Amino acid sequence: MAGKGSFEITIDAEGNIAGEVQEVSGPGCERLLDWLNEAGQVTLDRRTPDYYRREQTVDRRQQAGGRR
Amino acid sequence: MSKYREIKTEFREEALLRQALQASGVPFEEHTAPAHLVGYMGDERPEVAQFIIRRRNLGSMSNDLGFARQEGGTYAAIVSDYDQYNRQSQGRLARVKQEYARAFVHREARRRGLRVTEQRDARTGAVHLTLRG
Repeated sequence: MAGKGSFEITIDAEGNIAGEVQEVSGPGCERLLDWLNEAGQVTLDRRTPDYYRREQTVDRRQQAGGRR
Repeated sequence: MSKYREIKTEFREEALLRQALQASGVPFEEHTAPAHLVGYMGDERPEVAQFIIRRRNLGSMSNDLGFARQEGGTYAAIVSDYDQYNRQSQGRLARVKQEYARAFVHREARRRGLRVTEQRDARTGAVHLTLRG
């Protein structure tokens, strides 16, 4: 996993964990946090707006390339 | 950021629980055969556990705090009804859980070859870790 983005982990005073994937966009980041699941019960799992924004950017480039 | 996940930490691994108890800085007992917890009046309670923080290390009104192995090898915290509302016992349990989560994240980072930087927020008590390849 080295070289594939970074992780920001917060452990609150009650011992619960919140994890974020950074510097990786789109479907590639979907499973990068799965290792955290071994620590306990997943209570929230969501994509952030950044996930979709970067996907749209990629789509536009692909469309522009296709018109040439 | 493109993916966000929250985890309610559970004591799933004995080695990490032991490490967390050591890191939390409070004396504890480890029993191969589960031992009885003791109540605040000195009475032996029916509950048993493999890891025990005795009440003398929690506060004069506290009962023992135990961690009992469940089927499947996970551990459950044994907290008396009174201690559900006892700040010292709840604070100690929260600290053990936080240390467990810390030990878990550090171990997984090592396994994946990730470097860890860590900061503790003095105001909230939260620990922030950044893992990079």
